[in-house]
Amino acid sequence: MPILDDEQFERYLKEFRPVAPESLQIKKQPSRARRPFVWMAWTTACAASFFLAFLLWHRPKPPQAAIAPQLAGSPSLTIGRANALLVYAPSLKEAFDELSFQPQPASQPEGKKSALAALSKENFKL
Amino acid sequence: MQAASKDATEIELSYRRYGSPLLLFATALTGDRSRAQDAVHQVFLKLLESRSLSDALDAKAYLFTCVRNAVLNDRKVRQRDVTLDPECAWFERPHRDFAAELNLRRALWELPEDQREVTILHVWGELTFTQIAEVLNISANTAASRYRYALAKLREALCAKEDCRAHS
Repeated sequence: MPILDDEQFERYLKEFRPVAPESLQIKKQPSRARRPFVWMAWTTACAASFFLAFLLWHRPKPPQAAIAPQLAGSPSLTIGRANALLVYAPSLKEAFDELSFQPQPASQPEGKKSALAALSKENFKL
Repeated sequence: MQAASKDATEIELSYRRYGSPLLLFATALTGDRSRAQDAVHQVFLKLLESRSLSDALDAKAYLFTCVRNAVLNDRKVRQRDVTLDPECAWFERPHRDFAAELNLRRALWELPEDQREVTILHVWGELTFTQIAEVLNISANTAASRYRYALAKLREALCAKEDCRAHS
């Protein structure tokens, strides 16, 4: 019987290395694989947004000259006309100036009465 | 997302680190390499799905427990006795000593299963008796006692066939 203590015998046993297993067949992480595509999608979306913003900024505006006679031609101030002024005036200040200093019609056309004038003649008892 | 990726990396690292002793442990229980390989792969694929290795207090002991359970479940399903496949090597042959590898494999296989488990877990799995007790659900003293018996039997079996002093 050979003389080997437990420690020596353990060392002898450990000289035998267990066989390595086959590699684990797994798919690559989808997040990692998808990452380049995500970046590309984001880049494309950003570029498209900038392009759209550029197009909107530089879109052809209706010529002022075409609007001006129309605005100038209508004597009374209506909501539609005020909107048109706000939209097409070169600046907000000019639009307000235009709205404020409107020449009011001196008299009503024949057969029509101003509602304000009719109400002012009524006597109300409070 | 980062935590999940970290878990997957940890599991892959564990496979590289403990894959060999886990495969040996499974082979010692099944006697068949391909079934052992299946059991080990099954455990790691499940871990990759659930990413639960980081929850284990002792990851190494947990892996051995999982592999053991997978083998025992497989054995229940197949309901057949395990036999040793003589063609399938369990170890890399040191100094290309095929005879020594075969002798060790046979000596291990002739041990009672409970002693074989403890021996492989302690020598090649490098688990302490406390860890082995956790894996096999026995006391640490029982694990140590089984190991002593197994080592004596192994030494007797191996040294009967070759002169162990040459390796010491």
